[in-house]
Amino acid sequence: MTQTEPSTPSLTDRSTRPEPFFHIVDPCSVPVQRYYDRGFFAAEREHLWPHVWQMACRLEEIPEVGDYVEYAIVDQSILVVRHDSGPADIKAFYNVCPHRATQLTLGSGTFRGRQIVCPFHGWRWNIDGSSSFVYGRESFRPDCVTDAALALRECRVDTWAGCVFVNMDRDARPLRDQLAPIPSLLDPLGVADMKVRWWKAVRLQANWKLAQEAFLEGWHVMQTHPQLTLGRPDGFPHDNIAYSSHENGNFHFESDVTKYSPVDPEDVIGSHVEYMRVLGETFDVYPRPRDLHVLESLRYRVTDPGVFHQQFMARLFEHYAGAGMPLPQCTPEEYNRWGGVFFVFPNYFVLPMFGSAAIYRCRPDGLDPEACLFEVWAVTLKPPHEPVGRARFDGVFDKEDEMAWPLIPRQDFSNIERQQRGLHSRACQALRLSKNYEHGIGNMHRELDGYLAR
Amino acid sequence: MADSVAVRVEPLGSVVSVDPGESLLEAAWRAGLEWPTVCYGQAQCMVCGIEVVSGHDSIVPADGDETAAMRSRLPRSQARGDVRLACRIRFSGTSEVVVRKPGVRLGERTP
Repeated sequence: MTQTEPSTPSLTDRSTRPEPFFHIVDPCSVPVQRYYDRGFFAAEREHLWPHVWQMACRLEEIPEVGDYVEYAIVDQSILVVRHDSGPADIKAFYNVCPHRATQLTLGSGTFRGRQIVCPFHGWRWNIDGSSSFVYGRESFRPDCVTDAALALRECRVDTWAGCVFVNMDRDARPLRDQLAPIPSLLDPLGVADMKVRWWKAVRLQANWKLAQEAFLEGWHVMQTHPQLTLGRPDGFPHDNIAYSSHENGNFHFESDVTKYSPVDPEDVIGSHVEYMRVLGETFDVYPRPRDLHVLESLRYRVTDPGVFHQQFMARLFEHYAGAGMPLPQCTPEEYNRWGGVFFVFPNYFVLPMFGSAAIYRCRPDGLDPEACLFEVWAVTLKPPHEPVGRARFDGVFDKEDEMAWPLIPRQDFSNIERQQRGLHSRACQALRLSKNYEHGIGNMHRELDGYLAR
Repeated sequence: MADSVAVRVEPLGSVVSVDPGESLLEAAWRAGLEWPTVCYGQAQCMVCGIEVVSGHDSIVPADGDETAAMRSRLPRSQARGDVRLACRIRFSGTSEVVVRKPGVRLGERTP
């Protein structure tokens, strides 16, 4: 298949648009240009981002009527606003004045008096998007300033798992259709009830897809997170993860119980507790100190690993129930998803364990194909007496900032820019994917090609 | 929960009951008053500014944002006296507060 020049005709005119170039023909081979070619990025800008459900913010960022968040993607700015007191009373407006294109807000905040005000000429809208005041209206041709013409243009809005999702395509299929089958797998684990504990971002000189592919497999642990081998990297298993590519570009992995092997067969319980302690310390998402207390309280009390697991679950449930934030009742198959990774196309991840989870979102940083903003939320169940307040962004931190980033994210970030630079090597034409472990990456790219072809 | 503070707005003479955590502007809107503003509570226009007459014991000091906004956007000629932004000023205590803000009127409709 010949590759077209990026400057060829209109990407919006379907009759002349070139076929998706650099597209996936072999699921184990991803052409490198998909991560830096400007034409490819332009195709995503035109055919992916305006037509896909994407996570815009967490519900706890807009707890009160009038609260709003600015969601930015490529060159689009969208305001997500809680416009009334019902739980579903959320709207998303394009952040632009219909007069002379002034952005109505800079960043996130709260609209007071239920008014959105343009800072240029003082035109106003109610927070439901309807025009409320047009200063100087009489000076306009009437057809230019009808209420319909001035109403703020909206995007589709829906919610899932404690988050607001938006879609710029008014004709898009329902959110749940795009999310399937992830909600059926994840909802039983109660992630929707978790609240933000910390929320940080890093700017990486890398394509957004490349950055997030680090998390679409789990076998980089031995080399990238060697502390988790507890000093025993030889023979550290890589076949003990079950990877599942799903429809809609979605994907998840979880541990494969049939392939479980303890880190130290001579001290199964001890090495398990040690592993969890190191994971907790170097990830700062899970397991939380409360989870480790339960683990450690059984370490020298129980000698049979099967009994240990049973006792651990029972005591874990007692703790959470006693603290007023009960863990959900699930089947063993559902509990096995703790410690797994759940990916929702195009760019959203949930990693649940016990009463906590890590959430990732990766976006292009503006219009540069080789720049992205990678965000991490640590969320957790909180007891009912603890005030929640409005979720606050802690800031953008350098990928090597030891005070800001726990060791595990720092280790993951350290590979990504090296990959992005390596993509440009004349020796490198495509990524070579493991068919057993990395089909989630190919799965995502094939779904992307579907959007680019529309 | 702490009690509301009574704030008398002259020259209109209305007394606004301001709840803890709420600004004078928000309380005035709740009470059905119209208050001079063009930015509707974003601490940008400075039009809502008031002069504090008495009751300092019940007034929460301005935070960094309000102070920075007034320093940057309030002309010196309008900054004479004890000026605070109605959209940011909060209250806590028992003394009645008196402020002066010409242009506040009883509303036909509020936002």
